[in-house]
Amino acid sequence: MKKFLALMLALIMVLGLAACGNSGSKDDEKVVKIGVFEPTSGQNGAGGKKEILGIQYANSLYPTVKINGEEYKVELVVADNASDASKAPSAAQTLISQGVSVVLGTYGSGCAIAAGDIFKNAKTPAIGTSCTNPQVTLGNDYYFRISYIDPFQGAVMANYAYTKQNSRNVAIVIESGDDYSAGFGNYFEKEMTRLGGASKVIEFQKGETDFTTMMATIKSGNYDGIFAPVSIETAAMIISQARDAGFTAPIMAGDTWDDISIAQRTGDKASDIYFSAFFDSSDTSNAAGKEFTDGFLKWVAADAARTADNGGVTDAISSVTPCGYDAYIAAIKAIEAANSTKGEDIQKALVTLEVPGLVTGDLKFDSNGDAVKNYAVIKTIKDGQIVYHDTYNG
Amino acid sequence: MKNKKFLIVSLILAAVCIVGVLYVNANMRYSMLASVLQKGAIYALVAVALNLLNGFTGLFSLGQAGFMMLGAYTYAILTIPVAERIAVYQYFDGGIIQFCLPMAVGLVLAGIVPMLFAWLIGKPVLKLKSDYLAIATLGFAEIMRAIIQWKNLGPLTNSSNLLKRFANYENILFPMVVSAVCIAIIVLMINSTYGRAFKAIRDDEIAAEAMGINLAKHKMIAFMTSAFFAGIGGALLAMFQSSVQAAAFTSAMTYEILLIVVIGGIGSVTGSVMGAFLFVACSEWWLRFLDDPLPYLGVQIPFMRGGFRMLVFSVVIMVVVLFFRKGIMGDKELPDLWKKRPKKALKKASKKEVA
Amino acid sequence: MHEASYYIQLLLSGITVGSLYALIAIGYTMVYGILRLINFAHGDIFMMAGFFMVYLCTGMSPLVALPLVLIMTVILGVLIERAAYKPLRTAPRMSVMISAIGVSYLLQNLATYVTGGLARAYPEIPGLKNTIQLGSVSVNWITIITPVLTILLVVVLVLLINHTKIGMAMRAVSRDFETAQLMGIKINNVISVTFIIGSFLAAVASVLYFTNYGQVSPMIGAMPGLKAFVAAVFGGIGSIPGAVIGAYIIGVCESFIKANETFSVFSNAFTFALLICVLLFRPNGLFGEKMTEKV
Repeated sequence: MKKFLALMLALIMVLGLAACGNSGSKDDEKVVKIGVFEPTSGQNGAGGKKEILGIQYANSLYPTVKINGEEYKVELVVADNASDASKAPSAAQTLISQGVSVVLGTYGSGCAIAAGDIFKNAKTPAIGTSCTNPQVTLGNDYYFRISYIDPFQGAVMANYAYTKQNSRNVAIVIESGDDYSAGFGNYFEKEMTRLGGASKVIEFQKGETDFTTMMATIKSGNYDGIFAPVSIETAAMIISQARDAGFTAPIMAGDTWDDISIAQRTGDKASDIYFSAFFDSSDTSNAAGKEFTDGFLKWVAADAARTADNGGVTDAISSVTPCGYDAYIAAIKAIEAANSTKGEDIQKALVTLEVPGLVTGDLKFDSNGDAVKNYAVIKTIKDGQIVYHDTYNG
Repeated sequence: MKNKKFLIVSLILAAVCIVGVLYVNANMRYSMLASVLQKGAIYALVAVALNLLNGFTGLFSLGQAGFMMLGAYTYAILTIPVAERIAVYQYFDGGIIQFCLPMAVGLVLAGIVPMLFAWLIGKPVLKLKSDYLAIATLGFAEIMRAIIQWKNLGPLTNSSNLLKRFANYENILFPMVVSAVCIAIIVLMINSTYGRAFKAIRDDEIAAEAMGINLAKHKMIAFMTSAFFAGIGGALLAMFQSSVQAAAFTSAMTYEILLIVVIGGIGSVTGSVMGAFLFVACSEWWLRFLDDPLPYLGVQIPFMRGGFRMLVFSVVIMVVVLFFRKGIMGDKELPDLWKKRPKKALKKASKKEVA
Repeated sequence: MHEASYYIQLLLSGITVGSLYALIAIGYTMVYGILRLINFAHGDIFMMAGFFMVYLCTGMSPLVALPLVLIMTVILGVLIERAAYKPLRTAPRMSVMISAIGVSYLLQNLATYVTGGLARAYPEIPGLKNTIQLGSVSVNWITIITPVLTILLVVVLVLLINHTKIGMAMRAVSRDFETAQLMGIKINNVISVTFIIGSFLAAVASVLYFTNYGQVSPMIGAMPGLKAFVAAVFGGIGSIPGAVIGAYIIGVCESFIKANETFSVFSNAFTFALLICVLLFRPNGLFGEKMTEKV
């Protein structure tokens, strides 16, 4: 019996391992696979879902690409990196093993950095959506990026805090081990020091829920502002616990906070919250943005699952959604320019790619593979809604 | 005669495996199969190292992830090329270590450093009894993680930021061979006088002591050996992922390895190896269709969506833990199954007698 | 330098966390006292209680949902004992512990599956989050209620154990499992009662904890669970007052360590360092009874 069982097991293992070859697709249709490397669970799951919506919307508008005159269907392959840099390599490997030609994502720089070398080694180009840490693309020819980067965003927010909010002594709250948090906090601190203000970094550990002690320290330390580049889940706790502790000065952050769930969870405690964002749907001067906003909101409202992924609302767009949308457009333009489904060819095409009139502005990559961007909006939370507050151009 | 036959069979098997792996390496370097082979081999090594403690010496340790982390960090810190350090240690001006060791040296040190730590903490901790030892080693792993993440150690460990760009392998045969060699060493140890002493301690500490076995010494040897190989496993894991971060080495990782040992059979090396490949293949590959909400044969299955895979998987594990307590192999090894067993005949005879 | 009110705030925050650890720790210490089992799934029962509340409140008011949450958590606790621990009663201790780890893994994956891996906002119980100003210290009601309720529950529990028949049975079983069985004590009933009490207190802790911090996520149970266990060991396993005092010490120390910017990373590690020290120098904890090893 035992012998039989062992033999069976060995057989199953061998068969299973041998079955790997036939991961191919149907022959009657030409397919090009685009990997979607995003968190759909964990700390940034809510944000990842919104980026995927942008990608899916773009896919619904442009479901095919032309390569050498032949029509190819674009198939999206989603892998969840669980907002966790330690799970990101495995998710990246899943995508690579399914033979994707190009990867889009991710929300959160930590996961992008952790998986970057895997994409590079497998010669599969990746287009970063809202991962803003410079390390994502630095020294990696295969990682490109749609959004602006932290040195820019850090400077924008520090300038805003210093000149508009008159903050002179800012507590920078960062999650230890998170590259987005550490990097962004670092550039904010540098710019704040350059401007002549003071700041102090306060770290907390992953998974922390009790910020009462930290808030007591901040309140007692006479800080006149908090800068907290942290995940969506942590954001809600920081806001409500800061206000509970009686801290009344402004709380500032970056692009991750442009998520309606933060406003929903904090209710009337969300006052004096300011954060930078890539895009504002109420900006009428942006024609592509207007068109995207109208079309996307209709598309979201048409399906309950999409509405749920958009945070249960059909009248607001997170600024990471257009990043996903633009990344998809850039990807199919690059595939068409390369006239190939091979990663190496697409990478070469991306280097010289220029796409004017995207939702987040004209797209052109610099020598690092970062989009050249000098536009940011600053948003705030008012009556449970995320609203436009200020624009930064420069 | 019999030994010779066994040797020939295993040599042929090994050759077939190597050819197979080389084929995979050449033709599908980035397939799921290649990924499972590498990760499975690494987990097999770590699981066998844990089994040496839990299954063969009867020491219930939950510090495996901590030792893996030490190994991974030692390797990564020492083998990052000097030119890359400024990019990796971006917040610490390139860090304080300004040299780069060859891969092989790094790998050996990745075993030695956790071994030294095992010696340090083993002295007091190994005196503790079963579950207290478990919780103390678990605690030790958490403490080590916090120390590595400490800002003030940043120039050395890069604090809690990830390490990358360290020396890495090209051919997927590398982790498999390293892990096979390490497992072979552990097997040799288990079959030596040390191994017999370990088993005696496992079966009855007091009796073992009465027989003249030095408890403290043998427990320490088992603990340090396990830490050594867990460290090498950690270094291999870092290479496999091409980046490493302390946050990954949580107690959840230790639990996973422990479950592999249980699935394979506590006290069976081949069981642990098979368990590791099964565990990795199921969780990363074969059960992945469960996460897919796409319809099958035209039928949309309502439960299938993200997370269902892990749910099914954990139910399977509970079934194994509750109803197949011996796991795949019990405490037997794979070659044992082909040996003639007089025991069974004896049992049958005794049953007849009773009847 | 900080003002006195700052330290009071830290102390209050530590006492709140300590109370919550205490409620969870009682579940650990009672189960360990009777079954000699570290119930690794206990922290996850605490997490599940949080999700029960979240999902029940989508259909009813929090005050109606509250008793239902307590009942459901108790049922969950007893079910786990029946399904995962009872069949292993004669198995080696390591098997039962592995089973507990398996249950913990299962509950976490179940919660991840049901929620899609996202944190959920915890429903607000009216009035509990209102802030009041005591001098220069601002506290919300939950901070005041938590320690009071904890102490009250502990007193009731100690009375129950010392002055009722079932309490006597529990003491007997924890002293000597087999003899108690021979004396006609229904072991399974006693164990069920232990799990009922443990799960009930975990549910109470979950209501207080999540109301305070606002959201529940699938992995949230693991850390408080482990810390509560350390508290139980620190106080002397099997001793309820010991567990409570241990929990308060850990809660307050943690609060002060977190406030120190250089050492805040060590807030979790400190708990384990304390554990190892206790195990080495006073293996039976502060209030534990001395046990002799039987051959």
